[in-house]
Amino acid sequence: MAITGEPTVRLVVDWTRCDGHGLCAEILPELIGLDDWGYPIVRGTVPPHLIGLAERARGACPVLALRLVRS
Amino acid sequence: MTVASATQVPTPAASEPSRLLRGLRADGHALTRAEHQQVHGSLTVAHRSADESIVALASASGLRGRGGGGFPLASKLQAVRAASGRMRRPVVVVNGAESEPGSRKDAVLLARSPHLVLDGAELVAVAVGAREITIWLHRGARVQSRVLEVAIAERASHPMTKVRYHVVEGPARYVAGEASALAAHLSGGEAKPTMTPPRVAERGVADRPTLVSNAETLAHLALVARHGAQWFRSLGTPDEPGTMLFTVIGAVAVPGVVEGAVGSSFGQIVAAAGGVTSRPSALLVGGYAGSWLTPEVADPLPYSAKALNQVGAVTGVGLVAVLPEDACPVVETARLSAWLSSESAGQCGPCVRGLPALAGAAQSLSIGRGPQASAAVNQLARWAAMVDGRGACHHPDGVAQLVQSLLRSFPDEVARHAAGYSCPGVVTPSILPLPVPERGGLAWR
Amino acid sequence: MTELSAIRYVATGVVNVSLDPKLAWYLTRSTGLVLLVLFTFATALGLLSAVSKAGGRVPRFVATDLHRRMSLMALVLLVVHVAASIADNFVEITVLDALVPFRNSYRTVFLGLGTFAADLMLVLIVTSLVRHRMDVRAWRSIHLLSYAMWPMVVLHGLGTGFDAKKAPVVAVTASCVLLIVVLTTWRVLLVPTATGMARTAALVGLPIISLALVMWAVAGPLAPGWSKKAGTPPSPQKVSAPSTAVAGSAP
Repeated sequence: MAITGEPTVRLVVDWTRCDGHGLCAEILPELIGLDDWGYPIVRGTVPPHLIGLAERARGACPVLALRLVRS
Repeated sequence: MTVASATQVPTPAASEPSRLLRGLRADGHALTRAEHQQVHGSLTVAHRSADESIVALASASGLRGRGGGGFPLASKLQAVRAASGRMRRPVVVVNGAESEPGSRKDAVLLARSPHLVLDGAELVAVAVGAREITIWLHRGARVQSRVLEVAIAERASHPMTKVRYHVVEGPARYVAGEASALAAHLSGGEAKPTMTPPRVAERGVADRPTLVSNAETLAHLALVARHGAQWFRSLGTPDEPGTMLFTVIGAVAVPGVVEGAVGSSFGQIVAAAGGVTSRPSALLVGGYAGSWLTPEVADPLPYSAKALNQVGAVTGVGLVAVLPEDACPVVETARLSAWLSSESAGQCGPCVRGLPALAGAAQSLSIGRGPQASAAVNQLARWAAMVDGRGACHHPDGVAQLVQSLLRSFPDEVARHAAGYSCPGVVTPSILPLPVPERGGLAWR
Repeated sequence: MTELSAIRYVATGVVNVSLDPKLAWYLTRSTGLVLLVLFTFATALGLLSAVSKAGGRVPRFVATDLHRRMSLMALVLLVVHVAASIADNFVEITVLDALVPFRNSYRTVFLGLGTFAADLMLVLIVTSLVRHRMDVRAWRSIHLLSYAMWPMVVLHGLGTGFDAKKAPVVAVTASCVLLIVVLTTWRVLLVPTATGMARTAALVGLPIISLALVMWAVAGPLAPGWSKKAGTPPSPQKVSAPSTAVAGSAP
């Protein structure tokens, strides 16, 4: 576990809610790609300069399947 | 000592692998409580600080879950204890589901030595402060259900601790036996897995802290309580101590459930089942959503998480399926992946879409006809990696495991099929049984 | 126009309205027409969000974002519309009438539908603002009320709109209705529903309801003499409003 002042922020998909709408991948292509069936593939943790966009992606999801987890 | 064994029965020899299966009746019936106490000795629990002793015992023994997860039981106990309080009383759920079609170990244990499992259940109930124990079975487990009712009644007169028992039968679906699915079902919903966090240890049945433990794990605990952690550790590996139950099926002389030390080699396990009856073509290890191994790799390989992980396999629930000479792992993978994809709970996109895609590709490969067969190899590799780890439960991971292990262990067979070879394995009757669908359709409640 | 400057505009308007009744009169009618268009666009964007597929030329979040911002703008303009209609003295409309539907005796049904639509709008917006904190399925069910709200807006416009018979207004209204009917049909066809029954009912119901609406509009509000029958006060230019004369007994 890295000892830094900043907490790590991760994007977590609630798979039971996700319907593959894909808005998250449109807003945050740096971190979110789509698999062959339209469902999100999240790459890595969210760097500080992308947290704003990550929050927007969370808000854009029509079924609120995206969560930001801070640890 | 607050958990004590009566001194009628001496501790069995440390090197004797028959621990859970010791003293079973020859006629196949369940041991009565009296018989159980004759074989294993009786157990008493003094109440003050017994809970901490039991956790300490579980910790010292290093007992790990035998339901596929392999988590140390002590960690689970501590997690449930931490989440419990006076307003949040925990519950204990004995997972007797055994959703793996090929596995029979829990069925045998519950049908023939129920008191060992119930002893363990009561021990963990004391450890976490639960007053209710639920035993969850798949619908249709008639024998086990009846045996348990009798066994529970036998214990009513001299209970080890004050608990209320429930025997619940739930839908016979593959993913229904997953811990969060059990909790969801017992809370009145469908037996479908939920997203974790929160884990069932924190919020499970009716939002209460829930300890879900495999039946075999609890049986081991019952013996640890009698004979001690050191005795338990005398067999097995340092990281994975004790014995475990293996279900050996397929091309062996005496298919069935055998007990052996964790870390026994496949050669030893198969020998315990009477040895092979034909030259095996492949071994399927762990479960249907498990791993393919070649006989050459498997024979000397220890059956432990450490050794299996090194060859890209997992321990699963101890299934060892020996494919006979005329069977084909590619064909079996097509068959199993089709069934596994039909057993999806239908909640998560990558599973609902990805598993049928994998099954289709496996079928194309199996038939070995046309350009689809060669494209199928790339599709299998691509989609297996794509579905792995992406779902509310580990069902897609299991199918990914099955497919990836096929590609890794049998590249020649795969290449032959991709080139258009239609193998006779298609007509060989499979040694991997699949459950017959329930009358009235497949339900989730 | 940002939301902030819109609010400033509203404040100025409200002050002026209370000083000049004629301005209030024109403001009610103009904001009403603009609101019809705004609501139509907002609903259309909501429908588009539901049917569009990822990977199209326009990112889907654009439709969602526009839908949200347009709805908020409509809310702001709605406040102006309601304030103007209260301030205007041609027809007596109280603050309570603006919140509780079907209280006013002037064109009770159609005015009431406007109030009801406004109430629904408030519910839709408030629940959407706290979306993250409420149950997703509950939010979704409530948001379905938008399918009820939009027709109420149209009926309110046809039934109480003083310019409803004018050709440009009829053209705008007809275009809005056509747009929503087409998009709703498309949505019903494209987006899988839980039961086939719901989809069949929608596909059958949509043309029937649209036809009924058109027939009613042509025979009713758009036909000559309807406004007199509906109880409009005799003179729209009267400054001092007769408080009880609007009860429906028009000469």
